[in-house]
Amino acid sequence: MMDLSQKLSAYLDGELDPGEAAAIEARLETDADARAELEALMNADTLAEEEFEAMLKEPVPFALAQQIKAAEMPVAAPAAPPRRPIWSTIAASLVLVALGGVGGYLAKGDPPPVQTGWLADIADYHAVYASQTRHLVEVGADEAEHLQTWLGSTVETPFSIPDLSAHGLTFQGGRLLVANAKPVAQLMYTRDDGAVIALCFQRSSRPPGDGAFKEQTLNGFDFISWTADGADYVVIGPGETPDLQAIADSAAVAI
Amino acid sequence: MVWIKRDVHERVDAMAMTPDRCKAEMIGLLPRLRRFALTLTRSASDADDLLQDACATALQKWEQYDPSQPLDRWLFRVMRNHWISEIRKRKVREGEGQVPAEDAVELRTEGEAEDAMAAQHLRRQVAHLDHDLSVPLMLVCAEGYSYRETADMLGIPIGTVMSRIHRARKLLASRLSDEGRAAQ
Repeated sequence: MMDLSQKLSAYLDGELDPGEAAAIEARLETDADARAELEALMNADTLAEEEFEAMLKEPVPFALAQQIKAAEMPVAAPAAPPRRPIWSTIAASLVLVALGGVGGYLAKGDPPPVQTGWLADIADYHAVYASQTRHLVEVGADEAEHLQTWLGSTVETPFSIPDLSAHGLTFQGGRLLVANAKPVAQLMYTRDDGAVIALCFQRSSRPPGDGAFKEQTLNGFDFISWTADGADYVVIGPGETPDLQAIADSAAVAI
Repeated sequence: MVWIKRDVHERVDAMAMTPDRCKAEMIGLLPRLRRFALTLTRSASDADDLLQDACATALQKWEQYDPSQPLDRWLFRVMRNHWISEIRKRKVREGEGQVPAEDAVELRTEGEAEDAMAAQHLRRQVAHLDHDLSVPLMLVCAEGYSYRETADMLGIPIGTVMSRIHRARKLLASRLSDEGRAAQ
């Protein structure tokens, strides 16, 4: 039989049934020892969460990310599941909405269009990450200074995080990607309606550009890219984002 | 007090998984995979080796991935199986006597940065927990998995998950209490 401390631990994890949870809550109202035990377990939990969170901030071997990106994989796709729980169907439909055109060709089973260059890689990443809420970014906006140091040195492109709030965008944080075998910094912004806009950049191997913007649509996402100061930049949003050009204008100035 | 159940893990549409998408997801998961490796191995250098091996295996055996499951859970399982296999190999090597210097992890020369990272890891209280305790704790507290999901991933009964997480919390609470007393 579970002792009180073990029940409190399970209670912290939301793993007791409603009746047991209610009984624990009633006991906590009157039993000071139980409250002290819960507090001790919660303090331990806080410590563990902080330490596990800190592990996420350690650098990931970039060479490994490059190897994964370049790896040859068996052509055959994993077998489709025989059946899917209802919540996954809901999640899938949300992803298909988020992916727009990508969802379209995948659902029909057509081969994906052939694309080259770093923008095709960025489109793949955006298809994956724009559907995430819990893991939208690797490093959150609350660590902006760390993001600038980490991504700036890895991508070898110092930058400032553009404030795009005038366009209704909230900065959420960033992550490191790999495209064309080079590191890419990805800064993520969200709009109130849930749309995800990303600003990505990597060290450029091309001759200095004139800073002109280039508009493209890849895999259902709109892209506005430019080259300036030895780096390639791109702003990505869902297809037909009305103010993407204005966002790119602001980003190009502020970054 | 009202407890809000942790979010169900979000996932991308498994039906749409392609090699490129799988690779993109795997790269995005690297920080979490490395944390899992660190929790399993309690050593920065072992964690990076394990991460490398597990990713290579996952890429080679991608056809075995069941797309009805989130990719992260499958990768966690691949990594755990790798580590169990590695532990067995080390035990066999130890049983056979001397380990060749080039195979001995303990004898590897590590750079200063890696030493610093290893030292930083050891300063963490969770690094002193046995991995049987720290792994379930990490999966539930940090990754947000339920006891059932954690039990399935680790191949242990749900009651064992519950008791190990409790034991881990008690040990951490005890360390905090000792630290508090020492500071007084």
